[in-house]
Amino acid sequence: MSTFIIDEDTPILVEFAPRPGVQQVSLSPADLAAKSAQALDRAMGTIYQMARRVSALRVTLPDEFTQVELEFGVKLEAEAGALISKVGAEASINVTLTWERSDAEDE
Amino acid sequence: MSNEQPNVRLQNLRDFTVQIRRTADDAIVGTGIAVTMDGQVVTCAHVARAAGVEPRDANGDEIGVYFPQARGGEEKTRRATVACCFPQHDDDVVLLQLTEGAAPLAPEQIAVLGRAEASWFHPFRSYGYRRLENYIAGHAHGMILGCVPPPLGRNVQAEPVQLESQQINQGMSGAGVLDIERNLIVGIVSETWFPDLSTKDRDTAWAVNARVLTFDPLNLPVQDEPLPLSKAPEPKTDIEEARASGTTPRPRWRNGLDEMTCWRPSVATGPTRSAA
Repeated sequence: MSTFIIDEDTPILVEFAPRPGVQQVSLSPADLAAKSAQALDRAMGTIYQMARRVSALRVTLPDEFTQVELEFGVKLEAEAGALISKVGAEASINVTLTWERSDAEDE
Repeated sequence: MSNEQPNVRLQNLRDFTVQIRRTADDAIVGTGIAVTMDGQVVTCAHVARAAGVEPRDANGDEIGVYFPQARGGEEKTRRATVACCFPQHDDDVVLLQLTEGAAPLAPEQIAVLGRAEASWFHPFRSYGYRRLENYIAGHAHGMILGCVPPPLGRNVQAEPVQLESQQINQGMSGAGVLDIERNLIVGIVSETWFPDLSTKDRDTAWAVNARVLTFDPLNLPVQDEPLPLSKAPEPKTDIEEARASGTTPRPRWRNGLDEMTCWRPSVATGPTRSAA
């Protein structure tokens, strides 16, 4: 039986695609790990903010709605960090947020 | 397709093209061109920033400049500082000055500059340090289309020059645009368009008009007259020498017939039979 050792410090590396549009054509040989970490941090922040908005929305919904599901993509870019995108191939991360009304809230 | 005659030579882009490097790790961040024997190099302002130096606040910070074509055993790895830029305008060029000594190049290896206004729809060549895996540099070619209004919010002294080329990519910033009809460097590569899924305008790029290099405080010399194309010596074959070097003897077949002397050609009627 094979075993493996988890390295807590293993960096998560992101494969960034060139962003469409006008770009200056200097080279930026910055650390990929640092850029990846920055993009992921921004992605987590974006997901958190989206969750807050969903949470704020649910209290305004009529009682007959018991579930809210929000699906979106997050595209990771070297310059912008994280952008909301369409779900699917365009997204680096596909996110589904689900809220279900609990019995405790009805009381 | 080049209109170049076979016995002429253009300015050699590789002679005056240099690597712009970040001093922290010697990484190549862009391209530059040597413009004077005194050690002045032109590159894009954003290339200087990529090297870690803000042109408008340089404070003598150094940028690496590497001269691949240095001659005579001269040191290829040099340092430079920002000599001047345009503090009030957004024209994307800076003038670097080597910190020690003159450029390690011969006079014929220095770029000759010209204004781009007479270059519309001329073919061009370029050379710069765009990375293709382990290939650190590459040539480019295309067409100089003409000036366009600058991007919104950008305050420039000369309109950007639009180029058409498949090879302008990251690393080419600061490369010279050589008009191959006028034999002059008429622009400095600065930006390119990365197309979306439609691929419209996929070969579009922009350069800074070399005309801005004449403005204060850079004050570099440029010329309007096309640079004469240097003539390469024509090959000369001495025909007499070639004949005198001798010909290979015709092979004689051992069992072949001797020449038939009974047949002698006649001027008027052709061969006639004569007594053997």
